[in-house]
Amino acid sequence: MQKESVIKVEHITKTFGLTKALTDVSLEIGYGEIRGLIGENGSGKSTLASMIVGTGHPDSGEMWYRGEKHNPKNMLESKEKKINILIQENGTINGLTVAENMFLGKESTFSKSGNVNKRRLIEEGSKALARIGAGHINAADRIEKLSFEDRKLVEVAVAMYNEPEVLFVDETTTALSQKGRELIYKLMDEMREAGKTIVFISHDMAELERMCDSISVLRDGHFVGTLQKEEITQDTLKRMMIGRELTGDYYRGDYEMSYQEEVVLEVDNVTWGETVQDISFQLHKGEILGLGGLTECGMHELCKIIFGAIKPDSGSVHLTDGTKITSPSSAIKSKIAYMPKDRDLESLFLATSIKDNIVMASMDKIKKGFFIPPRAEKELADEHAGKLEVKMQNTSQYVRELSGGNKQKVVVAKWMANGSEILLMDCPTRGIDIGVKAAIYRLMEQLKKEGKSIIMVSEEMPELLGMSDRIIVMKDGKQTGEFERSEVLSEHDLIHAML
Amino acid sequence: MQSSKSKLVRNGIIVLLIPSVIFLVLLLAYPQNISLANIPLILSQAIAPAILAWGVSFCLISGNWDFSIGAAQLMAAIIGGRIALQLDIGFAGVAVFAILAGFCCGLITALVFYVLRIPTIIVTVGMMLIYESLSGVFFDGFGVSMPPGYLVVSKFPNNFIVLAIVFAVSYYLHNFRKIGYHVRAVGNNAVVASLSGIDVYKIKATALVLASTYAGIYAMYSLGLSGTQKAASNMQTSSLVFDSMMCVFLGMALQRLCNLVIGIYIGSVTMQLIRLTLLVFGFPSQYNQIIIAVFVLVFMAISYNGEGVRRLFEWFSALKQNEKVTAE
Amino acid sequence: MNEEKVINKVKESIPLLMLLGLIILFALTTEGRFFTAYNLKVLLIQSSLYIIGGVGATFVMAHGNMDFSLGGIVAIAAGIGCVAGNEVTWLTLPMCILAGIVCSILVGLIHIYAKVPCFVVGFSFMFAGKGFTAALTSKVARFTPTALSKLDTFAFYLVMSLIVVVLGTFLLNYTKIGKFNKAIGSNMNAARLSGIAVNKYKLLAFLITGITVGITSFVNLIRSGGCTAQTGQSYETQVLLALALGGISMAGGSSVKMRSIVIGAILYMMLDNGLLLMGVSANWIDLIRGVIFILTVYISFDKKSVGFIA
Repeated sequence: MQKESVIKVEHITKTFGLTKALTDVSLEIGYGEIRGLIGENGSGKSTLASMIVGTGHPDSGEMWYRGEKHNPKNMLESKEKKINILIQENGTINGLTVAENMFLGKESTFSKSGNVNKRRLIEEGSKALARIGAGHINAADRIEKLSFEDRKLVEVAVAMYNEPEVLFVDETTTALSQKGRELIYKLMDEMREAGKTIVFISHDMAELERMCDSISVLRDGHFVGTLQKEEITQDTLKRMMIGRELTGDYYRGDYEMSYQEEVVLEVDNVTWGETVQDISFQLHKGEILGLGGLTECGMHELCKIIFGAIKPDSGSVHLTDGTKITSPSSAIKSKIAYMPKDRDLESLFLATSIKDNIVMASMDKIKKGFFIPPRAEKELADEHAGKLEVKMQNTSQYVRELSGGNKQKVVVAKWMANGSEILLMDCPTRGIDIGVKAAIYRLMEQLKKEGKSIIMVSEEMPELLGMSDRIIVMKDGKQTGEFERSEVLSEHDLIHAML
Repeated sequence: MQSSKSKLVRNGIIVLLIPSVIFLVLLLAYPQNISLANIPLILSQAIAPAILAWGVSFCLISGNWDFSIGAAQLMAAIIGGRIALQLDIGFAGVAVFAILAGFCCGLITALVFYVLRIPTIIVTVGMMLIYESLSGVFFDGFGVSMPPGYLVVSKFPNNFIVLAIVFAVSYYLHNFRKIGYHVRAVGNNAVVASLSGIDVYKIKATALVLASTYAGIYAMYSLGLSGTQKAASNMQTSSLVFDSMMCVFLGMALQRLCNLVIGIYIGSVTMQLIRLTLLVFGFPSQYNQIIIAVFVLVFMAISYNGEGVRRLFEWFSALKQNEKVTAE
Repeated sequence: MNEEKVINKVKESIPLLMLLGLIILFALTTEGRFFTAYNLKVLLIQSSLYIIGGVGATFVMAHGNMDFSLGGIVAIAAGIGCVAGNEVTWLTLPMCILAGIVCSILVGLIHIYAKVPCFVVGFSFMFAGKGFTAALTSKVARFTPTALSKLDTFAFYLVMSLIVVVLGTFLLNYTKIGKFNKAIGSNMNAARLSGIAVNKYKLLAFLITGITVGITSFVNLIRSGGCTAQTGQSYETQVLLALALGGISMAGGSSVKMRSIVIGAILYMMLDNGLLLMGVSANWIDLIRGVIFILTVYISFDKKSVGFIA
């Protein structure tokens, strides 16, 4: 007899611009089950969760919830249907107390004629907190007093107060201490006993192994398969997560680690809180140094520290001639370039022309006294936009109208225009189509040949393997592995150091 | 629980200390000019600005500007006063119709914002121009003048009764009604607030309505005090707006120590005290504005940078330690 | 895509179109009184006050701040310039500018380093300015040095405006000061990560404001003949109105153009001027101004900017 499923999705497809986040994904989840959902960055797990919860809508495919068609317009609708989600980001508001946060928007349930009964809010809040085992939190406290973990627990209490039938836990445990995690595990077990369902999204293999009845694996937006409890081993999971073919032409043609002896940049014992712990390495001339790990491992912040955008608690970053990098402008003066992971937020001026974006870091180069000749700007911009073959009408076009790939080309052009020697690239091909990806890889090879040095932070293992001379892997802020380019280096080796 | 109660008392004392210290200094330095009799005057002069400040606080908390409240007050006074005179129903009539008129002005302003969705600074400056203009059009621009029988507020203790009522209403709205929470939520994080199902624009619009309704209360108070309201033009009402916003900023700076509603009144009192101080020191009464400005800036800087000041003190004491060591 | 471009172009030209439209309207309805050389000159003279100060305010708006201190600084600078000028005539202009610079930089420093919100600092200076001029003029009337009154000619106002506008346009569009302030308003993070010293350039914007506001106070002294307790009152709000009428984006950024203040100031004054000549009663003028203000901003507002509108 077939167990009726509480959630069933069929042929779900979702595309964001050029990125196919989900392709023809179908799966079923039963009652009283803790289903794990695992996959690399970009595999589609969060996207799938958002489809079911209602924060996004699939382009095609169908969903059923408890046997009925399910098409939530927004998160509030699915909350009413008793589907809740715990997220990773902050979901509480400063300036309000714990209780006020918990019942924001629902104050009418405690009031007679529109008054807010503070006492009852606090009472109910305390009850809800106690129910999940977080009784140490005082519902009358201002939320700012609480630690990040306790604030997250408040969100958990809110979700549980709704008495959900299905709870999505989307990477929530990553930032919690063991105490916080145990609390959530206990809740998950209780819910399962009561016949409710949990969808547990996490990178932590150990906790998935421990908690889940079954684990579904996604890869590049495709559904790979579901392992039942007895079949679950870390190796099997890892194999299912990766295992794609590397097309040789796409990345570098050679398999040899090659760089010059000269060291151009030194990172000495850099520490920043718990995010980056005592990292040291050297960058050589003509080297492509890959930096890899899971999203939260600290590599993105390390990149910012190297550029001088974040000040480390201890340690230093300097050139071989002793010049310390202490700020973005000192980095730029030393011909270091930084391409952040979040293009739109951190490296592009969207409502501004391509030309202005490209020349932004090169003003001192082309200025004549105070005057910045428009002709020099145009020539510089045209030159570099042309070299990179940016698909545009002309350099006066606004950057926000370009595709992701061309936006990235503009970012590269900006740093090429400044004559950068050392490039810090954070996820350089994120959200870019294959054609432009290949072009950027060709460019990196070209730069390498010219003796420029590159640090490439990447969340995509094939990219790391395909392009780097050396790969440094980070986990939880620490350096956990260093690998040299070779034909036999595989994703297995990397993933062991990452997870 | 013990510690939070004692904290409340401690904070309360600090807050009351600020104006009290200023007054004490005055009392000791100028016994011939200042006496305890000044206190009621200061407290009563602080009432009107506080009323308007309580109204506009809803806007400022939710992240809005409202430059129209001065002009709304204008309309409310003229319309409310005229109708009451016409119907000959005494001060009660002024109260009812002034507040109603203020409410209507607020409704219009809020609608313009809600429908057009352009920044509140634009909407409310525009409405200020419009309402000021109307004050010159209505009743041929003569404004309103109430006969002595209407000057109810000028008689003690009526002014303080109004203060108590408006204070209670404001305290109630801020702390016991949804609107108080929602404006704070929207002002602190509109995105998360909307995820909880709050209609951000509706809250902002409501704040605009509230502000102008309070302007109606102010109109009632001022008519009951002085009896006249002249028409205005050329953005004359903006100075009223700025004064009231200052009280709110002072209240916000005191927020760590005491409730905002109380803090706003304390802020208004403090501003009156400074005016008094300068009067006594023989300064012509106009320099007070500069001093107020400097005081507010220093006050703001300290409260926005509590951390910095604390570190400054630590640095000073560390210096003293070093001196001791090297001396030895 | 192309549709969007056309719509954007139209939105951008609304202020200019409105200006032209009004000129035509007034030309037709005032029986020629609007188009006299005298009237046009008066119009330009009145606008010049807002144009000059507005040029500086444009830089601060470019990096995303709203400067409420303009009126207060005009008052303080006018007061100081007037007093100094009555001792030594030629000191008037330099003292006006110096006072403007000192005050404005103070605003910038307090905002940037003491981290007080810009509008709070602006309010404080507004109060300070009012108090300053009131105190200054409470016992003695302050008149502009008589020698300077011969400057009260159309040519003077035109030349001052032209110089400031030309210099301002140059700085805004062809130097780092302008480009970087626009970049900061466009995306402060990206600006920082492109090596822009954000605090330094914000301060420079305040410096420019100080210079232009100082010049404004000087021009005001010439025009009004002295310094009174009302000097500078509502100036900042009127500059804000003019900028908004001229189509400037409240959030600043790369789309900030110098023409906003020029068109906006003329538009603002023209409404007053033209409507009066049409015979519209003075009371209705502010109402019409208010309505046109709201409508103009509504039509030219770029809704693609940030999430929730404040």
